[in-house]
Amino acid sequence: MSEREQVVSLTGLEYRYPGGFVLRAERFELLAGEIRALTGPNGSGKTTLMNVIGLLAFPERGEYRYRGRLLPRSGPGLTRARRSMTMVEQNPYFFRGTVGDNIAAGLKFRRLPRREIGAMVARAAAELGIARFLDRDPAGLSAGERQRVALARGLVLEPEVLLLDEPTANVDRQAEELIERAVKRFHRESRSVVLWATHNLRQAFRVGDGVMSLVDGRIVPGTIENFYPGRVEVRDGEKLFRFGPGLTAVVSTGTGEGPGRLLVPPEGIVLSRAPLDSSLRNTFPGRVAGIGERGERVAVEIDIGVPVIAVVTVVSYRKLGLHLGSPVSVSFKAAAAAVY
Amino acid sequence: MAFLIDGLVGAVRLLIGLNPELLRIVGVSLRVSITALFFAALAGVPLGLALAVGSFPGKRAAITVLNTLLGLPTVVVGLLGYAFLSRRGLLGDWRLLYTPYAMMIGQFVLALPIIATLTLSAVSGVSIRASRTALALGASAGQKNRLLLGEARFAILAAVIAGFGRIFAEIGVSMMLGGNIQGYTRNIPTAIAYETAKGDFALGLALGLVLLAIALGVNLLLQVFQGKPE
Repeated sequence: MSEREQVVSLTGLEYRYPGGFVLRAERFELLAGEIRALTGPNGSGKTTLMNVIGLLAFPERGEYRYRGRLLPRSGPGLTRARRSMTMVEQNPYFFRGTVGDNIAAGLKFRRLPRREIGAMVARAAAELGIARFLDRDPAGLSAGERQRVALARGLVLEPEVLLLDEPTANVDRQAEELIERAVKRFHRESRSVVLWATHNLRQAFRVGDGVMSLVDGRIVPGTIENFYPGRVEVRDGEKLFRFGPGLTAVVSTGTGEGPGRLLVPPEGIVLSRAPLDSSLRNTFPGRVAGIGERGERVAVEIDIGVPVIAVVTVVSYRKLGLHLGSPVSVSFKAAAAAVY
Repeated sequence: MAFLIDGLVGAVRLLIGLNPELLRIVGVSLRVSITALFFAALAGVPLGLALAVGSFPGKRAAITVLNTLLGLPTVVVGLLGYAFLSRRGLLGDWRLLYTPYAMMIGQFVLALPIIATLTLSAVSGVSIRASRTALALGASAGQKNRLLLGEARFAILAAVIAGFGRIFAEIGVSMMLGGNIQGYTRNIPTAIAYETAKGDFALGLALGLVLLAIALGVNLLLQVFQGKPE
C-alpha cells in the first residue's frame, strides 16, 4: 500500500466552523487507484472533508498536496487542479437547461470541441440509462434519475479523483444498485481514486476497498459502530476506560483522566468460544445477539453488557460455529481501542 | 364632469391622430430613459454580481449605501446633478445642464442602485449551490460568474425592468437637469406637469395615458420574468 502514489495528501488539517466545531486530520491520504468509503453521523464533517479535498473549501491550517505538489488557493493553478477531480452531491444542483446541457457543463468549462462533447455526453448518458432524458428538464425527473444525471455529469469528466457525497441517500434500491455498478465500473476502468461518503455501513463495505469514519470532526480508521461514552482513569500507571457497569478496558491512547469516548473498530476485535490466553489486554464474555452480512464478511453483534460489533471472515465465522445466543469471548488489544 | 370628458375625447383624438408634439415628447422620454437604463444596466449588473460573489473590504458599506440610494428622492438627485452640472459646478465646463445628456446622467444615478441591489439579491439566491457545482465541475472564476448571471437571468432582467419603472415616470431629475425645453428635453412627466398647468388638459391626459400604457406594459413584462422560477 505504502508504495502507491499519494494522490491527495492532507497534513495537519484544521477547518473551523463558525459555531466552534473543528474538522481535524493529522494525516489523511488517498492513494492511487483506491476506492474508499467514508462513514459518519450527520454533522460529523463528511461534506466539509469532501469540500476540502475537492478544493471547494480551504482550511485555516494544514498542508494540501495533490500528487506531491502544494496547490495555490486561487488562479489558473487552482482551476487546473480542480479539473482533475469532481464531486457528486447528495442533493445535486442542476443548471438551467436540459439533462444534456447539464452533463455537458463540465466539458464546456474545459473548452472541448462541440462534436467531442456530444459524443461523450451520449456515451455517459447511455452508461447510466438516462439517454432518453437528454432533452428533458432535470427538474421533471425522479430523485433516482436526477442522481444518475449528476453522476453522469461527474463521470463524463473522467476525473482522477471522484468524490461522492452520499449520492444514494435519497434514491430507491434500483437506482442505488445502478449507481454503485456505474461507479465500480468507472473505478475498474479508470483506476481513479474514489472517496464515497455514506451513512449506510453495508454500502460502505460493499463499495469500498477500505472504510474510514469521521467522529466529531476526526478521521478514524474503520467504522464507528463500537463507540462508547465513559471515563478514563489511570491506575498503577495504566490507562483504563470505564464504559459500563463492570466494563473496563485497558487503553493505550487518548487524553488524561476524565470523560471521553472509546472507539473499538469491529475489524480489531477477536472472537473466540473460550477466553483467550494471549497478549490481548481486553477480554469480555458475551452472547451472540445478531448476525449479518458485511460485504464479503460477517458482522456479529455480541452482547457484553453493551452491544459490540465484530467483523470476521466467513471462514472464521464457520469455524467458530456461532449461532444466536452462543456464548462467545470478545477480545481486543489495548492499542486497537482509541479514546477521544 | 364635462371638463374631464372633453379632455378625454381630446386626448384620444391626439393619440389617434399621432399628434407630432405628442410623438416628440414620447420620443424624448424613450430615448433618454432607454439610454440611461442601458448604461445603468451595464454598470449595475456587474456591480450587483461583484457584491454577491466577491469578498472585499467595504462590501457591507457599499451594500448599505446602495440600499439607502434606493429611496433617494428624484429631486435630490436633480439638485445634486444641478450642483455638478450648472455653470458654477464642478462639471460646468461640459455644458450639459438642460440637455438630454444631463437627464440621462440623473436617470442613470436613479436606476443604478435598484439594478445593482436587485442583481445582488438575484445572484445571491442562486450563488452558493450553483457556484459550488460549477467549481466542482471545473469552472474558472470567470466561467462561474457568467454561469451565475445566466442562472439568474430572469431575475436580473426583472431588475433592469424595475430600473426602467423607476426612471421613466420620474419628474425631479427631468425638470431640474433637463429644463423642459420643447422638442429637446421635454419628456412625458415634465410635459404633463407643464401642459396641465398651462390649461392644455387634453395633451396632458393623452401623455398620461401613454405613460400609463407603458407602465402597464413594463409591469406585465416584469410579472412574466418574476414568474419564471430561478
